[in-house]
Amino acid sequence: MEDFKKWIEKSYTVSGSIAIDKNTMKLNELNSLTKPLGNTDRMPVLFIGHGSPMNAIEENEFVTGWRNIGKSLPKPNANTLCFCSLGN
Amino acid sequence: MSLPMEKPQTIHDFGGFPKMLFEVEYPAPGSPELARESRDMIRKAEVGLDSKWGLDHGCWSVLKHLYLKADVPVVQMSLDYYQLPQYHYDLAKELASLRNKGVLIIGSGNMVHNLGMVNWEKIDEPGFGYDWAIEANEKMKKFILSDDHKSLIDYKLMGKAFNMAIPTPDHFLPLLYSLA
Repeated sequence: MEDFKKWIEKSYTVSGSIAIDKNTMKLNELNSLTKPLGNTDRMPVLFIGHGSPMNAIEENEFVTGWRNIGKSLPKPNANTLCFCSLGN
Repeated sequence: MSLPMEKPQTIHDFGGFPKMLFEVEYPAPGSPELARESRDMIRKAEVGLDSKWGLDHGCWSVLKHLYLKADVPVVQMSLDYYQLPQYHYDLAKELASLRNKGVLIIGSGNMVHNLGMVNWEKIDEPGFGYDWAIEANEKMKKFILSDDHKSLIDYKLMGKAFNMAIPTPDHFLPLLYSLA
């Protein structure tokens, strides 16, 4: 996490063009941008059928399953990105 | 489309549930860095950064169990569901390299989701499911396991069971992100 933050800060400082105005960046520039962070193991990807919101507070087989998944996951050293299309 | 930033609030975006559920808070920190990073990787769409929205139930009801301590920064990305499925699949591909940076990508939704058809009398009956729901669920799993992403992207052409299982795309589209 700290490394990630430092790297982001450094990238922004070293090459100003990477910073805020990104609309000029092309996808093929991504390789150079992400190179310094390319040494982490490839993280898994999940799709979770979240079911009823009640799963947040109930004890059931789904919740137990999610906890087990949580234990087996490598801890993200940076972040979690969650895709959700609800509400917008 | 938005990517919340600093301190995403817990949003209780549903109605008719017990008070206890409305009191759940998931105080995971946001991550402006990752939000910016993700936005910048996406060439396909204009992505805005939003610090006011927060985490909705699809996100926190699951993360609460995966990361109990809420100590992993979370960025939620909302989807523009006026766009076609192929668009979402392509857009998701642009984010795939985040996996090599220690980022865990989670699609949260449901494969079969039709609230209008819920059989409330049988809701607690173990193993109960409409034929179309079971059929769609099994076919989707088959497509996933055989890497047949095209059939899932073209879910609208996959027959009646799929149409019943996916009456609106909002819960289904996150699956395409995970696949891509």
